[in-house]
Amino acid sequence: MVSGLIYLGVACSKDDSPEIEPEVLFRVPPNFPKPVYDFSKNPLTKEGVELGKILFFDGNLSRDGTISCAECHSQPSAFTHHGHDLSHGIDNKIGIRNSMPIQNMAFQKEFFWDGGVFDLDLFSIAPIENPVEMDEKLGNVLEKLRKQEKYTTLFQKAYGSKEITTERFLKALSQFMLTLVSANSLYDKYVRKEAGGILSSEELEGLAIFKQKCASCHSGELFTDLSYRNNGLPVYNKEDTGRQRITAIQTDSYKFKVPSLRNVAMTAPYMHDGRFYSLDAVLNHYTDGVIESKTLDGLLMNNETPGIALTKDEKAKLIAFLKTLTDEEFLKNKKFGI
Amino acid sequence: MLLCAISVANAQKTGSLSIRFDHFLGNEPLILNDKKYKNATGDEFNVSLFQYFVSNIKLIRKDGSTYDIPQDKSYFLIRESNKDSKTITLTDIPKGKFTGTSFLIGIDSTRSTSEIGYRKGCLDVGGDAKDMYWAWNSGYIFVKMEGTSPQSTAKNNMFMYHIGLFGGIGNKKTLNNIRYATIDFGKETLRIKDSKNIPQITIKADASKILNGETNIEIAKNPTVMGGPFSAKIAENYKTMFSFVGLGTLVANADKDKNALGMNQEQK
Repeated sequence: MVSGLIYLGVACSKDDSPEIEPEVLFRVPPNFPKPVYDFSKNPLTKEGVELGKILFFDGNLSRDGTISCAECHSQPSAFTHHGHDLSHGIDNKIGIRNSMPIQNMAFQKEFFWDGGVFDLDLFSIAPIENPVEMDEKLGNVLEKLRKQEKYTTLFQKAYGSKEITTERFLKALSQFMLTLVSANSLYDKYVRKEAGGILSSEELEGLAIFKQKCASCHSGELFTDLSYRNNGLPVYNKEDTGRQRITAIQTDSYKFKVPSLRNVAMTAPYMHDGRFYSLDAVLNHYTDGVIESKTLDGLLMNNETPGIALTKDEKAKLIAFLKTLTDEEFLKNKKFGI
Repeated sequence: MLLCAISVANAQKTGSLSIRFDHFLGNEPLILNDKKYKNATGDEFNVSLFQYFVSNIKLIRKDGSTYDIPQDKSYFLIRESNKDSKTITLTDIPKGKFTGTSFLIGIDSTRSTSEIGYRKGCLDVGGDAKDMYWAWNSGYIFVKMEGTSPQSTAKNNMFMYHIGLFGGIGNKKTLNNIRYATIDFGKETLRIKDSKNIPQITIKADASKILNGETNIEIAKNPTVMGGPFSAKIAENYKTMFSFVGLGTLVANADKDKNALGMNQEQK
């Protein structure tokens, strides 16, 4: 069990004062898989995480100073943009995709709905430089930060010198995002047999239905197999071919990342374009709305009609279960805010 | 420190080399903005921007064996808009005779997927590489040409050819537009002697090859080519863009050359 924990924090002091428990900046929850992120290339430090957090909340990362990362990734909504179907960025511009929650980033091998970015350290460049999100050039952001004593001091604290480089900037943002681990939902307490981890009979039935009908894609403790699939949504935006935009492979057309369902009750709206505003609408899609197409996922073709068979009662139980994935500690933890 | 000591000890055994890239459009020198050109399909156009990465440079001996410029000194961003960037200097090359050179047009897949800490100099996405990187589909743009043409159907009659894609990572493959150029020195022989008499290879880079070749690009039909499958046709075209002009000697003091560090910086 101990080997499953990674302690990254301040070194113990050598004087005679009682040994202080090192602050745990990141640890692998016992029920989680191994992290994908290579911490050896960016060891977390208290100062690095703090710098990353301040950057995350700073509008200077956008062209006109108005849009910070936190604007579209707010904590009470598991670091996504509650109530916005498509990302709502600078100059009130609207993107083509629904912003994704930022949580459990250490366990993901690719990022965004199409998986176009394969390294968390390269992740932050995309929203900064997206013309409809923050519309700034990374180099300009660095220039702005270099002019602020606040930042030269923070970089000094985090890295030992005042130099503000691409690498340091991106790695600090990674450090903060890596600390955003959500693993203390009622469900987690249940599977870890911790105090208070008791599911109601309805929630337990919902879990059983989930395992039978949803978990082949929303698999494991992350509730995603991290793959890209076409789940039969009617195409609203022909241009947005999802994974195909990255791979240029026709069979990837209209495939999107299977999202994690952690905190799913808090992250409405749903789907890559945020077309569904409730979990009911999502389940209604799977029972009645799945459209056949060349790239429709095979797992949705098991019945006479495409989709997943669920009764009204089963849907209610599923939703009861999905709500047990809400992690109040994560959503309210003050250390993730400023 | 150790590296310095080694390079002093080897001072007698190594030399430097300069490579100059002369930009043309067909047989005419490339002049940005002000000059009009025609492509093979008869479209009239001017060029406002022409730039590309050169990396993984090798020097080829008569017997086919090669000297590979060490990875960390082998990435260059050549910009028509920056005269200094068009001459690069390679140092610490073992003495010897070479009959040709080859290089990768763009950035290899290893460096394209390497951690951010290995992306310095011309590979710094928050620095010199700022306009040669795709943030949404992580990777460098290998070759970039932009301009205007009355035939272009895009906004402001612009055309934009941004060609990249290194093949993807893991089992998630993308197009692989990595192409190599091989330059044969013909009857001439490159002799690396010392660091004082620096030989210079002059290479012609013909931007018209982006448009003309196996596939003649009609600007009206394809005014903007970036990540899609058509980009492979442009990569096939431009792989023939480089040709040998001649060998000479760089007289100027190499120490003053800004590009001598391997990873060239954009002129401020």
